[in-house]
Amino acid sequence: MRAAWLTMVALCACEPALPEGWPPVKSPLGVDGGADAGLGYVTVVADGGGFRALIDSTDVARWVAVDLDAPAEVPFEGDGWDLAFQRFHVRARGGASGDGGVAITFTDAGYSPVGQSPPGPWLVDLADGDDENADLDTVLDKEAVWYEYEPRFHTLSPRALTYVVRTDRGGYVKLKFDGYYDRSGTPGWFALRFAPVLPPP
Amino acid sequence: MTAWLLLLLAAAEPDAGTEARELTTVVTGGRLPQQLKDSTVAVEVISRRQIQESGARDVAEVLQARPGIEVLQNVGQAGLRMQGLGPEYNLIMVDGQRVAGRVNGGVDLRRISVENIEQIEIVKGPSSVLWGSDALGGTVNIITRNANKPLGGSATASYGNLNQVSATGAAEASGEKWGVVVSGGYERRDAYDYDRTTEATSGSSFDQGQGAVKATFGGRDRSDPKLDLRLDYTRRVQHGVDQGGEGLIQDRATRDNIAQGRLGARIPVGNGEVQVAASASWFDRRFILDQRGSTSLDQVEDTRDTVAQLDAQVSQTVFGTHTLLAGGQALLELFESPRIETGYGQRVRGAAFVQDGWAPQVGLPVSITGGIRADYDSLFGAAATPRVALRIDPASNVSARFSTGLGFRAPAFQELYIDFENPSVGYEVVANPKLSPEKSWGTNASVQWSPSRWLFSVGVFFNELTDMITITEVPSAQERQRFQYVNLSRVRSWGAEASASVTIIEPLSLEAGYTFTDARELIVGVPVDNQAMHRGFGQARFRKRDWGLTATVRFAVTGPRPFLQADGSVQYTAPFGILDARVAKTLGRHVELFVGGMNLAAAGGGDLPIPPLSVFGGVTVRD
Repeated sequence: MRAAWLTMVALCACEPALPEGWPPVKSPLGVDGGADAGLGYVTVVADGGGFRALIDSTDVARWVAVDLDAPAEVPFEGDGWDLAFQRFHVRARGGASGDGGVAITFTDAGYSPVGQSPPGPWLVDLADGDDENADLDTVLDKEAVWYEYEPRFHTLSPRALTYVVRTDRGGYVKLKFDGYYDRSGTPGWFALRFAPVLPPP
Repeated sequence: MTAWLLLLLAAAEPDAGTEARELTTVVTGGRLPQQLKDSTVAVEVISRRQIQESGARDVAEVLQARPGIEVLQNVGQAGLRMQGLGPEYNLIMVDGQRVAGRVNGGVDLRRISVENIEQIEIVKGPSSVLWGSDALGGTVNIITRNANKPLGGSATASYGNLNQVSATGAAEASGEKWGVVVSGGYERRDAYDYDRTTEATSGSSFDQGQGAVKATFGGRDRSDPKLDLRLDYTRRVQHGVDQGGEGLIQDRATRDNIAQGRLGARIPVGNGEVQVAASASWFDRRFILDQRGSTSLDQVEDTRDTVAQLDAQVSQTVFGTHTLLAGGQALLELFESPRIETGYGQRVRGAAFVQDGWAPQVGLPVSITGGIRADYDSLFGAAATPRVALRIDPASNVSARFSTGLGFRAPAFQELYIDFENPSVGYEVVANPKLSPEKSWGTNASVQWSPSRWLFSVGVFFNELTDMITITEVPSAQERQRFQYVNLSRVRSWGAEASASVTIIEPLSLEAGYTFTDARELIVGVPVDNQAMHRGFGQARFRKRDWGLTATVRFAVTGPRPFLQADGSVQYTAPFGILDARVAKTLGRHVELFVGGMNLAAAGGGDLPIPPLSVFGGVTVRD
């Protein structure tokens, strides 16, 4: 009898709770006092002589574009951006990615010591080459890829490189990737540091 | 000590238990009821008494200390590996009906509780000739109880650490022409964790309730037509925690509803019988991931798998020496999952099989069985699976068996139609509706010798699995890496098994065995992951009826297990041992008290997420 009663209890057991807020509604990043006045996917704050940016690139269909000279979020469809982000992909508006003349070089000298751009070589995004996908072969996805892949958890972590971006307005900006995840482990949240530097010698 | 043991062994006499075992009726080897001693194909039987004495509460615990069988435990389920072939290559049935709800290829043996099991039959090697898809490495057929008392019942309750609660019961009633068994139970256990430095759990908590009813009409002997109806329902809820990189923590829950029903009839006709059966199963899983601190990676997935099946077969004994069996099967499967391309799939499969069992009069007891089955599936086409088996008894206590045959595994819906992407790191897994079934060729040979109270068994096996479905990277036109299931891999497994058992004196019996298995992936040339080469097991049982005392100790030792690393090297884990024990004392006619422990050697942790050491105690009341 007891077994039968317990069975009934078990059979009536509640369904596991759905996640709070399910189904999820995608909301753009809130602008919390940052300098950005764009579309709501980028927050830029001043940090010493430079800036820190938090970029929501979680949407698989949206390119989130940043003008490093402003600095601010700008429409991807326009011609004012220097870098654009979609999930872990990063484009620079030069070469196959656009006519802004944006080019990138990099150094492993650390972030703070870099006060002047290295002389090059200057890399630009290329059309898809002879590989297994149809992606543009962008500088930051391929030739100077920004991440290291950790196969155990399928996570990406930034490489210890400092990039220097030659912007569409001819400026030079050093840039470092600090992260790709929010505090809850959600991918698609780029954390960047960047600051203007002197032109190459 | 040794002298004492030798004295006991010398005094060994024929054992009534061995004779009773030989008279056990089995169905799995030939798809027809026959006594174990007459079976051409080797069938291993685990009786209800053995199950009860082991203390096992589910089929995973029953099978984890058996020769030639491995129960593979992971976070979500416990699957079965036989002869070096994993859970997706072993068929699990209840009364000849496929168990619903294969997840990641295998059936979770932990959700099949033991309260209404009469016996478990195991056939190693390919049995697709009779049972169709998935019977490559072996077949496990769980036979449920029939009523055999006018009125009776039993109830068992136990409690153990990890708040492990088990309360099960069964009631039966029968008349001259009918019998009914109703059973049910509730079980639960907390989650467990081997690594307290992380939030992740090593094993999920579960709450499970199940109920079953089986009714039989007629069938008191083979000349009496029989009708049987079985309905069962299981609901299982599991909770656990997953931890990924970069601070990702997700609470995971699964809820399974599984219902199965079978209506069968057996009608004696001429020198044989006709069997027909209609069965249906329904598996409904809700899978939930709830990301802590965010909703971005929350997931809710509902998966449903519904299978309806019709079986018919006729058998006749002709010329006194041939038992002919012919039959057919029709199967309809409906599958719903957000992970497949259209969200919905269906398949129809038809099969026909014939088999001849021949016992030629040649002086020695010899039996030969040959058969072939042809399946046609609406998704992958045709598959033919023949098998030949031979048995020779050169002496009254010696049996030699040989069988060779083909097996196949139908590609799963997930493999045919998967549509999954992980855009955060840029990969997707795409459908391949052109997948062919996986095929195997398997050969088994064994000799069994039963002098006096001993039972010796040695055997060898060989399996080659071809067109094995594996995942590989393929060219992509999208902005991400693309993977696809393809028929690419090959696995070869071979090995040997040896076991011995003896009833030394009336209350004490011993059993020990060893299995050698060499399983290799042939394309890359590496050992199959997680397949130990060496495995041993042993069991001691003490049963003294006038004391009302039963004690069972069993162990299984698994040697180093290989794991392929990202750099192509192979690393081996440390060996581990499982030790279980149970002691029971009856009080009067109706009450039994018991205490026991599972995994008493405290194996587990790291890459071995098996349930930790547990002790329990309880009471059974029978009438």
